Amino acid sequence: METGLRKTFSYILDTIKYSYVALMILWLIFPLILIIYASFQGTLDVKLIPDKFTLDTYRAITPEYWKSFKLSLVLALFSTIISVGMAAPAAWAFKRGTIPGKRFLSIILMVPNIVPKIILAIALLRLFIPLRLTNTNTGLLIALVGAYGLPLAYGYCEAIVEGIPESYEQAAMVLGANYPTILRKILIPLMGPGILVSTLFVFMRTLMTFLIVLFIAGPGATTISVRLFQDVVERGAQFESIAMTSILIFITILFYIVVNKFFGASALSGNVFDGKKG
Amino acid sequence: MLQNISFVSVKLNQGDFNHKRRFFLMIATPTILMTAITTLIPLLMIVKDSFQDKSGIFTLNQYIKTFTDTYFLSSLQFTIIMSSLVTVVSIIISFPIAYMFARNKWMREHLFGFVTVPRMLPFFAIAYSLILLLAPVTGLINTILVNDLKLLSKPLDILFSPIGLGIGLLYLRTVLCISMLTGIIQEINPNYELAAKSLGASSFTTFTKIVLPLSIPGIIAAGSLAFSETVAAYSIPLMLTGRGIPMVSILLRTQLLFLRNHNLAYAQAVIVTIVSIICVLISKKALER
Repeated sequence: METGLRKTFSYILDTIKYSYVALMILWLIFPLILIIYASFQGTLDVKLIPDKFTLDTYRAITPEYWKSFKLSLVLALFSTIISVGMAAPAAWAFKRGTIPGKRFLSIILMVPNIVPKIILAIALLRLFIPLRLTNTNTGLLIALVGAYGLPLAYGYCEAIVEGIPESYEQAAMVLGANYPTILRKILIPLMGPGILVSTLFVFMRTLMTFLIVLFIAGPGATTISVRLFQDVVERGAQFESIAMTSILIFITILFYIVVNKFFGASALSGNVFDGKKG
Repeated sequence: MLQNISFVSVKLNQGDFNHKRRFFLMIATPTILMTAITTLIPLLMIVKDSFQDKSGIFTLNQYIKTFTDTYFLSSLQFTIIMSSLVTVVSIIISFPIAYMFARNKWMREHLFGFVTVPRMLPFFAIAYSLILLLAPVTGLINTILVNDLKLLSKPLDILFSPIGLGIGLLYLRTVLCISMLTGIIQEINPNYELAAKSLGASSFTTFTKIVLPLSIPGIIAAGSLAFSETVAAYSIPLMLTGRGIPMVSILLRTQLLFLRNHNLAYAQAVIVTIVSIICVLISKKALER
């Protein structure tokens, strides 16, 4: 009797658990599904059972959107290369070396992670107006690197360096290896995969970010995220913007699949990339 | 003779050490400089400007004006209440699934993409979909309720109200909380739970006596981070605020872009930054323990 009761009880518990998980997953993916679904219907009043499926919304994407999209890709590519190239050696130096004023300098590196993005954007506007860097590609690149890509890449690289035991380098040094040899034989093979994944992450994040460059971007130089955001604020949701947003969603899903396939799920769910850095 | 040798080697090490220090500083300098130029210096400029009037004379007027402005104060109050509500609800609904993600390898490998992909997307995508879902006349829910099921005679109008705003913010914070909490819970040793279970504790007791107390620092950390991000949220409030009191970031934008009241906007920005930094520091402290 009692075991029967317990069985029923655990059955009910399992049902609650699985329906909760299903509900949460639904809550997490409903925006993506809805946007993609709407983009194939070609109208803004989405119906549960659509009249027709069309690609008209994708054909309606304006040349301005494609222009901004190309600019976004180029900016993201360059800012990622610059950010990771600067952050990886810096993270190693900070973790391994003795740097005068280390405490103070690490506070500087923490600033962009602590201050809200919108405040950073206002601050950048304050800096860029006298320098005449607003509404230029150079300004966008500087902002993306300094206030977004660099702190992000630094956080990732710091976690990667922390994951490598210092004793490897010490052992090599005791055996007479100099820095170039250590770099070639120990650091690059051990850090390489991690750096590659973080490069991909930084690229995706800089491609998608818009708050940082929101006020700096102007009619002359606008990334795709900023343009989509301005459009919906000024004119409401348009169906070409929904098609463009769907393209961004497709890119993100593709990125997820690629990272998952080549680097394993741990690269995406480990606390290295999603934990304390916020 | 022996003393001499050791003296020489110590001296060599000292020189080597200084050389190394310079080397380390050299490769860290570009990062520090770049970060300082694009974040620290502009922020200091804002702080300095917030204490000046338009002609550059030191004044506290902006702060006095801000704290005596009832509209700003009511907006700040609304922002804080909204952020607290959103934070508490998002922690409650994301903790169980974060726990499952942390303990269940299969789930982590196959379902975590549902957290990672939304986290990557720009925030306005969420607002787009909320518009598609909840818009007063054309939204999916209203179409179903009014036209198909005929449950309501008049469409629901919650999108551009605090409820719609709350839903949008809640979505973003659940995504953040799930991924943070998963990382934090993974660091708690699962053997404690196994030990409790083997000593005869039920799942419920294990949860309340072991899992929950151990994850309190993580919950504080995730909560304060979610709170600070909600206080300074910009895109979702801008897209979903219709009537009612706007959130602080919207006031800031109006002061900055339309009223051209830069110094007042900077003073308000400083206040928002301080609220948000305090939360982040609480979060960092909670994680250190």
